[in-house]
Amino acid sequence: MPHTTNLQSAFSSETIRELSGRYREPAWRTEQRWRAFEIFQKLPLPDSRYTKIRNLDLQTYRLAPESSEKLPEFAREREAIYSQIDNAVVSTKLPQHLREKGVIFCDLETALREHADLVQRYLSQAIAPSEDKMTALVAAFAASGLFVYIPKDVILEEPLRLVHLLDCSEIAALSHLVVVLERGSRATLLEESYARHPYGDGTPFHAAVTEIYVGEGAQLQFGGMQNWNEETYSFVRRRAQIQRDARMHWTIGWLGGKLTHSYVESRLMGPGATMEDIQVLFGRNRQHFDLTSSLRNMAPHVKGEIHVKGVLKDRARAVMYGFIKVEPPAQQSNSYQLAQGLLLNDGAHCDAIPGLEIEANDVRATHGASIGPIDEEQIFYLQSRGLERERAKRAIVEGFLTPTLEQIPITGVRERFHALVEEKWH
Amino acid sequence: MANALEIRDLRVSVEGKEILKGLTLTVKTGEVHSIMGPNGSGKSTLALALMGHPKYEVTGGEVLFKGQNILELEPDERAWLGLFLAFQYPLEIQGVPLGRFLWAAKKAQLGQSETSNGKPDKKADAKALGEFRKELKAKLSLLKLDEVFGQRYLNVGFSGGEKKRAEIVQMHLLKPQIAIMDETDSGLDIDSVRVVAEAINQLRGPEFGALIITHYQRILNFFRPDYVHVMADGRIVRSGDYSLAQELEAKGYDWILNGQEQGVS
Repeated sequence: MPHTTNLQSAFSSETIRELSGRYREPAWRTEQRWRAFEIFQKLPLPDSRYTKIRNLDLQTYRLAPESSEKLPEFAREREAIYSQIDNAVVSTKLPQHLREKGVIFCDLETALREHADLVQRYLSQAIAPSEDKMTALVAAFAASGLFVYIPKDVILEEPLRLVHLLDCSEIAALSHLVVVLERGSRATLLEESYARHPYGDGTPFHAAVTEIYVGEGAQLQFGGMQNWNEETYSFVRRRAQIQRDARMHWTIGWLGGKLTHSYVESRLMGPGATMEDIQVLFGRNRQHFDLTSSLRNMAPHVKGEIHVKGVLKDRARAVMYGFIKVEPPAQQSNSYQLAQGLLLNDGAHCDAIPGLEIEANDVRATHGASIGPIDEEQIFYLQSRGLERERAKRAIVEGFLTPTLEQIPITGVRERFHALVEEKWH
Repeated sequence: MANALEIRDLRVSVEGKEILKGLTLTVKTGEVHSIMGPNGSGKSTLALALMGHPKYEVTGGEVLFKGQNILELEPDERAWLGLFLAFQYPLEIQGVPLGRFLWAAKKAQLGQSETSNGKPDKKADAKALGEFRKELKAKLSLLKLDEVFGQRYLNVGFSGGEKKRAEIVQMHLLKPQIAIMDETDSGLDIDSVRVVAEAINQLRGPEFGALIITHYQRILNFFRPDYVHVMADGRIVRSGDYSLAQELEAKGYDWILNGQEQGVS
């Protein structure tokens, strides 16, 4: 396998030539890489008023060569059928009975060779490489990714579990996930992200793009759990295009990262489409989270709900944007957005920034936000029953998160999140 | 020897304003005391200060419980000693089911009182949990609350009366030696008052003492307190037996308060 380690910067034209050669990519794909590379060079880092990106020098990262290393028990314990370490796809194995149903589940490069037409129809269609510097970066340089295709009317009973592990902090871990649900199909996808070195030195870097296409009447539950170490810069952009009468359900738990930058958008494109976007975060020390939930109502009778909850400890900060856009055809649509923040001490900080843009006249669109310190009266009440102050605070935090976590459709994830919060408390 | 809660010349301020102005009172196990008095006399301040609410600053006097000065103790440490407060306004806490919370509280208390070797005994735990569940069910039923209240989030969506009854459920399960009840009867209809009073009566005995703060004589009809005190302007201004409560019911507070320098604040 060729290595790219000796180059001045991994993000160069040599790398693109090398990648397209290594995988014998179709011309259109290479062309896409070149265009994305051009955009990548022009765009600034996605800085904002609330999120300043400091000390991130993209030139210092390299792209990893393929690794032959086997993922440890880690993936097996989680029954993952896809696993990735840094930039290397370590395993994709789809159970036989799903293959027989026509389900495609393979790394992106394999999909490009074996299902070129299908991939071309969806790759970089929902998320344009030009959206920001990081989407351009992924489009230009991602060598790892996953293509999931669920044929018409196929219903998957078991969740598809993906695990991504960050190991080497000098490697830019990029990944591109494309998920297609054809009409009437149903699936649950669970993506878990972990650090091999919870307290490793260096600053791992991760950028990912997830494009989701939910066909007519199809249903997708997407569960995400991010637990990078607290030195990691992570940029994730996800978008779902949701067709007539289809359902999309996001549940994402955020625990790790030094700087986590996430953008989730749901486009309700067909009449009767519905979506729920539920996200919870727990931040401590100096973690920073910049989370955007965006909802676009583009057809009549659609319904969408965004609910983001954050618990912030120490000097952690979060900004939670909630954008709802109701386009002219989206009459009789219903949308709701709620942001809640619980601050455990002075120095923790949270902003909720709602945005409503309504271009139709017969709609319901509401939003709410509540952010504040943990209630001393509640602490006293629990203490008076014999719970120590710290335990009382923990009970309140868990209680704050529980009603939301209970909506996570997968029991194991719910429990793992609780356990991780417990760990992070110390 | 009875355990006692001894309050001596207690002075308490809230945000710089003195509310309790030298209050002295002793409640022993085996006794039920009732404190009555007009609004603003400092009854709730007394209850919250005894439990250790951080907003209530003790500026003088002392409070001994089982001979130990509790003013330096955290509220949870006071609870471990066997003190309990039934809140006038129980807090609503999202996502914390009543049953699970009480089990945690119970375990916290046991953990404090036992001289265990620190090794978790799963079998014993499971057995204790089974017994706890049975007891919770029985106590909910005693207070005429449906079994599902055990799974409901603490006081969330409870009616005023349900909240007060749930406080008594908690008191029954935690088995304090001295319980302070802050206007547990207010906001209850007459049937609920009876249910609550009967539940309190069940706890009466040589191992249990109570300080019942109330605005109305009504609840006292269902369990005769051993002592009745009248509080005004941060002090106990008169003490007597049950007949004092009856006298207050007939004549109001004015005849006592008029003898004071200051009236109702």
